Amino acid sequence: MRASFVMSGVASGIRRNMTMTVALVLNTAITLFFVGGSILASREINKFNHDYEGKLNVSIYLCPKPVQGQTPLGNCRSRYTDAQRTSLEEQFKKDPIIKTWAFISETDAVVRYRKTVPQIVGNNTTIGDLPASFTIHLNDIKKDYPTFVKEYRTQPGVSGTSSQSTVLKTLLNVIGRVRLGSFVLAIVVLIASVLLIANSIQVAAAQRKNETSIMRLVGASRWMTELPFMIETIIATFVGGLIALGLITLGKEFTLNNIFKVPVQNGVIPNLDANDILIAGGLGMMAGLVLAALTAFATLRFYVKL
Amino acid sequence: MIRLDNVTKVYPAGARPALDSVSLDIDKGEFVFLIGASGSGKSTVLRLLLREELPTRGSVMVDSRNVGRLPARKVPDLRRKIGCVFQDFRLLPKKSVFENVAFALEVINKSPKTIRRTVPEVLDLVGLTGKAQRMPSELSGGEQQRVAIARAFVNRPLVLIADEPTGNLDPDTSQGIMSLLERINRTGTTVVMATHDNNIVDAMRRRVIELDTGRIIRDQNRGVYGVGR
Repeated sequence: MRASFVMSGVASGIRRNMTMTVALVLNTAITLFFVGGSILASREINKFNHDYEGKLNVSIYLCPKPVQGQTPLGNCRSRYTDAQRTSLEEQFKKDPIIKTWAFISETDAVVRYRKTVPQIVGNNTTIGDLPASFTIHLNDIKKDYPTFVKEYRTQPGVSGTSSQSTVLKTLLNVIGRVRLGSFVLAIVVLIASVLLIANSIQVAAAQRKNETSIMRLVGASRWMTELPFMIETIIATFVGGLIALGLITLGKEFTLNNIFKVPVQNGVIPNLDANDILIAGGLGMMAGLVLAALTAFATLRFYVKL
Repeated sequence: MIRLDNVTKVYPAGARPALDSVSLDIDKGEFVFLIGASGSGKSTVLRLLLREELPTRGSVMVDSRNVGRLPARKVPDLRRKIGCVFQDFRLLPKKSVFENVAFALEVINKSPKTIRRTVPEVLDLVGLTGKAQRMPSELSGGEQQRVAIARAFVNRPLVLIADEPTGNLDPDTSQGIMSLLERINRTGTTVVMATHDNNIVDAMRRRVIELDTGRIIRDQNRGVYGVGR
């Protein structure tokens, strides 16, 4: 099969069908942007998990001094005692699920809090407003946290427990929803793309009916008649994929380096690099190319008589 | 070269068979006219030979191959052995005379060297010397049909099928086209031509197969168009 002959057919096909090709390119770009976006969101979630796994702590809050008129927290009747604190620490020492712990007094809690909030809010917080606590590092937070809660929540002098993984879970849920939304949109636009490819091939084949019927009558193989249509579709998808790659880069820049600039700089939210973008865009592009080729092939075989 | 054995063709929407138990033999190198009114089954015979249609019953043999049982991937090979000419020429308007003829070779992967050698030869044969770079719109109807014949013949097919090739041409031009088809037939190519043109059939005195409502009602050597009417 002579490449130059096939490619000249492809070039003239694209020229003749320019508006349809542009529509296909744009549609593919949007589809692959969503596909790539959902892949990128997955990578962000993985990075999050990877970065924070092992760094997450749980806390035990000790009973604060009761405030008159307010219902006491948990089983607190009065402020925790030093004996209760020591008893807890003795238990920590023996507990195999606990790796390390640190005591944060009411004073430490306020000092820490003031560092994280604007001055005006911090100044209004006084010692005693925040409870004393233990920050505890468990061996396996996912596995051991339920046991930990069961063991310590009802201990004397304990007002409650919390896990940073709950906070992280909420954040990951948000990203997960973005990923799911992006994936659902990708599927919807993907269906539109498949239909558009099928339609544009049928239109292109109808436009070139004279040419293809001559090809058929003089004994051109089926591949020879089909190949230009398939190559046109693949070229349009490839160009769409490149545009999608650009859109993914812009989207990532806008989200992580603009909206979440500070948390990313502080390392709270993991950043994504060029490699992540290339993997997301590349996987999307590959999926797009395979799908486009299959759609073109199936359309030509089942719906177009060449 | 061509054998139809008890061939019946029924189209899905057809009230009666387009061909009804048709049997015929055409030898290598014969020149055969297929005549008959519109709807008599002439075009169906041609379409069966090209495997554009499959017979409902019976067998269609071309060059000892059962066309109806040919696997799809072998159909292009069959069509390379059959050249086709139509009433409406079916040229590619944006390609020159040379490119139109070369197209038939390019799509079957002939080398550029073969194309450069063969196309001028066949253009000489059909009387279009010096017109290779003309566009179809710059040619007369007769010349356009010559280009179509050149394209059909450039691959030296065993059979040339012509479906009313003179239908759009005046009598003088038609005569020129018939001379050309005769010349091609003399090279050993079997020619099967469907026509309504009684003058041509009467003048040529070749084998005439007449169809009527899907049946052969006459098969006559050195026949004429209107005999017995």
